[in-house]
Amino acid sequence: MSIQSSPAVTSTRGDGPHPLIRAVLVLGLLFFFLLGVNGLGAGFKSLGHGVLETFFAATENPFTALMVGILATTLVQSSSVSTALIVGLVAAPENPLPIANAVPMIMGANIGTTVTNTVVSLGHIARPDEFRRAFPVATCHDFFNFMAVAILLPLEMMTGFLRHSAEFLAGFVTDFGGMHYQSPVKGALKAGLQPVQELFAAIAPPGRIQAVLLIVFSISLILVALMLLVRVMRAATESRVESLVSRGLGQPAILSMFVGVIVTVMVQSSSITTSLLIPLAGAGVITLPQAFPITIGANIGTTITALLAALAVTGVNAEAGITIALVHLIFNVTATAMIYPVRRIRMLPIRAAQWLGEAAVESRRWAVFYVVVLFYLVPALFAALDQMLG
Amino acid sequence: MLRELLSLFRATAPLEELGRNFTEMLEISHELTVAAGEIYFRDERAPEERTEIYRRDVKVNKLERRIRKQVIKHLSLGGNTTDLPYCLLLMSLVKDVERIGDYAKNLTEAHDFRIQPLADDPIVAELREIRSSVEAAFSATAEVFAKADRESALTLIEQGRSTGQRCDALLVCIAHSDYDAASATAVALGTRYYKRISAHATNVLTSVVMPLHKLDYYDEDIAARRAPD
Repeated sequence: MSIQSSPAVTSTRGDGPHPLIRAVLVLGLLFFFLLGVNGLGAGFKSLGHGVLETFFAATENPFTALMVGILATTLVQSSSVSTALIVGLVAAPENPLPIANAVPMIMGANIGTTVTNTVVSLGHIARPDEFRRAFPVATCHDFFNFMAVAILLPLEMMTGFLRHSAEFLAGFVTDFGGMHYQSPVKGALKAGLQPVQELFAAIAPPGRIQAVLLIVFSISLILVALMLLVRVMRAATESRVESLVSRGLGQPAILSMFVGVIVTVMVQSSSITTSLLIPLAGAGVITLPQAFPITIGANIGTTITALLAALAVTGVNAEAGITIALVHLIFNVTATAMIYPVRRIRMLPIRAAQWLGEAAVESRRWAVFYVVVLFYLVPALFAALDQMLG
Repeated sequence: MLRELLSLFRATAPLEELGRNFTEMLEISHELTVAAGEIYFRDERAPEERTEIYRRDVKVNKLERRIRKQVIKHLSLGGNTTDLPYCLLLMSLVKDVERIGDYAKNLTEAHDFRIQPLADDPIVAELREIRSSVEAAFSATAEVFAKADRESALTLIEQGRSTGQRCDALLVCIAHSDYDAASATAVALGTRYYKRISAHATNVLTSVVMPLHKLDYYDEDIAARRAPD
């Protein structure tokens, strides 16, 4: 006798498009995503000098650049989109965003992406017991990233170690065995972008309007392709993600971290990975120390998108695009290596999250105040101040 | 470490795992009920067997918690609402099966009230018959549930309702009997526990014939339709 053979236990899992169709869909969406990144570079090239100078000048201040990264990511609720845009900006064949300006923006994107699971945890706010368990699991991600930035941004400003290490690694990739780097999809991207450019050439006068149209189109393409890619990947890997996370929770920290990395690479979104943990924590099935390593793993896994975006960059600044993508990876790996191994340091973000959780349960206004002020108000204030002070 | 790493990638079917655990829970509870009945009707005490029943009941309780945890994980991580009714069903049924384990334990404790062997009279004979009927119905429960066998479920539910009525009637007989207080307590408790075991096993069966929101409530209309004219 086995209940699993029962008609009552029939699941629809596995229904949906054929795996081959899904694979074609994923490849197609990935191509559109890369086309968007490539189009962005072409758009900035056509835009010419003089337009983005104000933005570049503002982001010379690392704190402003950090705030821009936070604000942009919280607004689109996806670090994948913002990091892909940063890669596109840095790798633009002409008038690119300097890497030094982009590094704090990448750090800001890392912080900004944590808003999604924090907002998800607010769904438990009406039930204090659940909220006490769920909110710290969300905010430990925020505190980990704040801590990482607090340590690594000053270090980067003093030594430029993230940039230098990434440049060193990018050098390997771009000049491997004396061969100069070429995007593996360069031809396909060029062929894909040509009709779009021809269309804009037909409907708009040459110059900045065409460039703006191409930039808007490329950003929209990145947004839509990533959104659909995440959805398709989530549906395709549903049962695998369930079994991976389920098993990863009871494992040693290093394996849990690995699960966080793998699941995030599979679904192409750290927000999905970390948000999956919130209802489990709310129900009391997992604890904060169990969720924390998976969250940190998700932080590392999410760097895959910038690395993928770097595949699309072509031209003279391609190496810079790869460099900034590698900065994202090195930043998260370094932060993990600095914060996680020593218990006392590791407990800092955990305790901060627990403390905030208790305060938020006492007065729920703290939770909303925390999200609004930290993710939106402070970055907006910094941006406005910078604008006012020139 | 490598083994743990590899195990992360082993494919699982969460619903099958849930089903396996529920089957195991039902099987252990059934075995506990049979073992507790042996102890209850025996004249001498059986401390070792009782300890074993307590030990195995802990396993039933652990399985209940494991199933609940699996259900929460499955619904949270899977994001699949199609499995929602089955998961909610299990959440409710595990409570019934866990209660059966508790009543089996209580049955062995009821033995302690006796200061003399059970009488050889119609009351105890009826209680023995009730025991056989409950154990037989319970033994079939797991299979009927697994196969979602509606006809057998309806028959067993009817049998369970009849067992409940027989238990109520037996309690009236005990109340009017000339049993001493100790024997009356032991036999009344035994009757009560068999009635509860039967009721909880019937609850598992109602899930085969009733929609989720009517779980535990056997539709009187169904009973009326099945009754011979």
